[in-house]
Amino acid sequence: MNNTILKFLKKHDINMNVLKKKCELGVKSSRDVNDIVHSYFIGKDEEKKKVYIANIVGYNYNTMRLDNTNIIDNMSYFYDEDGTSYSTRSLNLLNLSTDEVVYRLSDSFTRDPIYLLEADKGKFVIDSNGLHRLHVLKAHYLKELSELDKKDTMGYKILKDKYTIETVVRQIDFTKTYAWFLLQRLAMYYDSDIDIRQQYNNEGKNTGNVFVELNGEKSVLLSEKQLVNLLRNEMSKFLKGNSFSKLDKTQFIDYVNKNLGKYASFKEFFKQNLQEIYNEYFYDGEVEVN
Amino acid sequence: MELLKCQKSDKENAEKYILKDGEKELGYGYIYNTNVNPVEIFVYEALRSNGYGKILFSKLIQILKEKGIKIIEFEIPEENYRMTNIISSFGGHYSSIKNGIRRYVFPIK
Repeated sequence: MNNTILKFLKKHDINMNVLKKKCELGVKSSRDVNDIVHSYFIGKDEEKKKVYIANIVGYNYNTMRLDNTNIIDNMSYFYDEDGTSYSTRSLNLLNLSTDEVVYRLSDSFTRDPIYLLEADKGKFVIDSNGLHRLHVLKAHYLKELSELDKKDTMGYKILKDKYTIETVVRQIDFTKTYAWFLLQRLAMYYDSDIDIRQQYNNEGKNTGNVFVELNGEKSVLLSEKQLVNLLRNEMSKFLKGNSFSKLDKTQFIDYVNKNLGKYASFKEFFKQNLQEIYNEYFYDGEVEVN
Repeated sequence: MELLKCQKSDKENAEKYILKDGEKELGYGYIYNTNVNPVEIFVYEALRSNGYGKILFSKLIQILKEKGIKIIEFEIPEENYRMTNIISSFGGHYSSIKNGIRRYVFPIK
């Protein structure tokens, strides 16, 4: 922790020992939140959204070569009186008090939006813009959170209202993302590779359709409904057909089952779009394959 | 700051441009005749984190706009957060990812 941050903590009475005892200080990347979404992300068009700062769980610290254990320690990268212009350009934010910080930054949320990437349902990471503001807001937020009595429900509500801020969010297209994940997983058994790209119009707006390409060959344009039908058919063919061994099928089911248990959004997608398959092979966690 | 076109490029099928502040060279960039990754930028290491990458990028995009190009794409390794941040900050839409390569759709307005 550099002197700039030590001075900041002292100025605003932020006690690190208290924060460490009472608050979650870790930073999550999009991969930490949901590995499937991170690896197979297909996004919707951006939209403005009010997000509670507690749901902005971090950023891709690994690409910045930062630690993920303590968000306050990481502030030294973004605020350093003796550093480069990147770490000196926002030093004035450190002077804002706990009472005024959200109010004084509120203009900036519309003028220069904080850009978030949805990492899973209701969980966000900073994608490109807003890291300086996130750190200073989180520091004040965590300080206020640590001062609340656990039974103070009104206090929690006031805190949530205060620290719910305007952002721009790149949301996950869960249907296309999870469909791609499963199709690619199935394709591996055929030693194949599937690529999915979104279709955009001349203004750069998403049409909702996708190009599906097998092994780098000519791609087919599908609607979302057609993509899900393709997935359903391929999964049925794999599980019910005779082309693969019981071992292959069990491995696939085990792998999918593991992820169904890990990610509620994946389970929701699966049950919504592949209900019959879910009931036959994954219902109540019991696995039966022939 | 100005962007100067080089008479010769050291890369095939690319125009080379240099970003200068007076006599000082800050970095350089290329415009390729391709729809995917048509713009490439380099800021000299000692001069990074000063916003020159954004300036260079925006000037090269302006050239594409003057050529009548409406939409381009970028495919950038996710660990190249400087470039992905620049693309997003100028309106690039993060569309999807494959094998750690982020794809962006970039309407030129």
